[in-house]
Amino acid sequence: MTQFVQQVVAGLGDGAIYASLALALVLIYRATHVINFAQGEMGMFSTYIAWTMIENHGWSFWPAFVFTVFVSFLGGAAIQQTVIRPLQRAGELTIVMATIALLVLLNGLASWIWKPDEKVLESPFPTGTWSVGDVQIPQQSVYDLLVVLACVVLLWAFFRFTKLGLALRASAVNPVASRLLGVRVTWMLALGWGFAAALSAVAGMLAAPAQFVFSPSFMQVVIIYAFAAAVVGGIESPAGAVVAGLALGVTMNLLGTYVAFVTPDMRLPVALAILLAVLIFRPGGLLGHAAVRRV
Amino acid sequence: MPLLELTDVHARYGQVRALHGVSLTIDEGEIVALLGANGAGKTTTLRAISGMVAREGGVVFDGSPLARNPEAAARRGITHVPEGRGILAELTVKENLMMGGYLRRDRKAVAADLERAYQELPWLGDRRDQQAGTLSGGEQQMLALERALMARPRLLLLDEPSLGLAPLIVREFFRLVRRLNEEQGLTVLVVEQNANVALEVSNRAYLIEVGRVALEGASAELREHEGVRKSYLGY
Repeated sequence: MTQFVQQVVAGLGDGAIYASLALALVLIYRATHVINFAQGEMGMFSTYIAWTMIENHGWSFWPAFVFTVFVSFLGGAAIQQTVIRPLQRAGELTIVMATIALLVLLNGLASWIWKPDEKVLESPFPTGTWSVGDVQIPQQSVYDLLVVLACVVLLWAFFRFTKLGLALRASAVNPVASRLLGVRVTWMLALGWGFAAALSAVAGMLAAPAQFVFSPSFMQVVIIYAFAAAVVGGIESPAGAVVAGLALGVTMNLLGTYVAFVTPDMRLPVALAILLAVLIFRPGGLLGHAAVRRV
Repeated sequence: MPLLELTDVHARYGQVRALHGVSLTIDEGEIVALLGANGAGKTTTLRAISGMVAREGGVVFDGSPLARNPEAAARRGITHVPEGRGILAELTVKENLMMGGYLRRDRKAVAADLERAYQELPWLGDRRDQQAGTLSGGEQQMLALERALMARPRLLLLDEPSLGLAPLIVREFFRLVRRLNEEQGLTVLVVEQNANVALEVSNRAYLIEVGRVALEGASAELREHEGVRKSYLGY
């Protein structure tokens, strides 16, 4: 039982990282109707920016974190305006190809700037555990979860309670009608990409310390879990992405602990087998829904 | 000086020319109807005004040229209710109405207008938290009108509001348009295939045939015009 609780908490920590990246995918899917294959590499690139501020400029973690989130936001918006926007008329497949090109480009750029060798991003959180009775709760997992939940709540409040958030949702639902109401839809799409980039930066900066060392390819496994979480959650559902991300983290930790053949090498195939199983029985994802519309 | 003046406006969809030189004027406080057969260019004329389609020619609104994009037209006070109503289906009724007032800075007046909309159509208030996509076609059309009014438009463009609606609802819709015109001086340019309804509600009308204005005049006179009667009114 103690081991079970420990694994659940550790799983929530991993899951929080999947959840934030999955949420980034959902934001872009809702705005641009494509899966952004470069989302993980955007987070990777952001992590290197944070690492540079800490290692080369002597910043401490949190100022570097805030700075990186901000820079990533601008970077995401800039990518939308310069790369995605001109392709908007060319169709969705073209944009998907562009995101794959971005994936490779960002990876190459990071290897070129920072060298492909492994770097260390120190965790801002104590790496110890809290003892609750017999249970040893990993502190880092709890803090990772809290950081991601804080981001999710902030983002939710923005979308739910601000005029700009409402305009962003309107643009995603019906861009033509939104333009007629005066919304500058291309700016809204840039904002959406900005938020997605900021979220993937958070994911990267939490994932790097959790993995002890990181190199330019360190987000490539994380992004596959995030794809799985976003799709299982129902690709258009932000809540679904977060819940599925957390559930995936917990499930993988429990399977790794209690099921012998789920060795670390087998975790990814098992995760994707679960993804397929869910989609066979619920093609719309767990929290996905068919859009209700009458004409 | 007319509120809106189109001079020799051409428009095309890619290589397909849809307007071949439309000229028309709308004065403040008027309801003007655009009549014509399917594909004559009525909808394209509205789209050319609000900048949804590439256009050439003069479009002067309130004394100065109008930029060629929907965001700019909205900022000048032109609210276009497009074909199919442009409802934000997955947002609530209230959020749709709030989006109508998107460009306004006077929060208190927007809130007051929202209450006025709920009073005008009590069912709208009762269903304010419901997804707009779950409303019936007629309800969506009324919502689209109320949302447009939230912008306090100087010129309202209505594209085929009667399409797919029961006659009773069409009458209710145009009764409201007429009342807003009489009480608040709302200026309206309405595209209609239903010429009977359009000539009843409007002060003046233009008949569009293959991308040009074929005939114009006071609505009462056009109703008596033999060609219009035979081709568009059906008696």
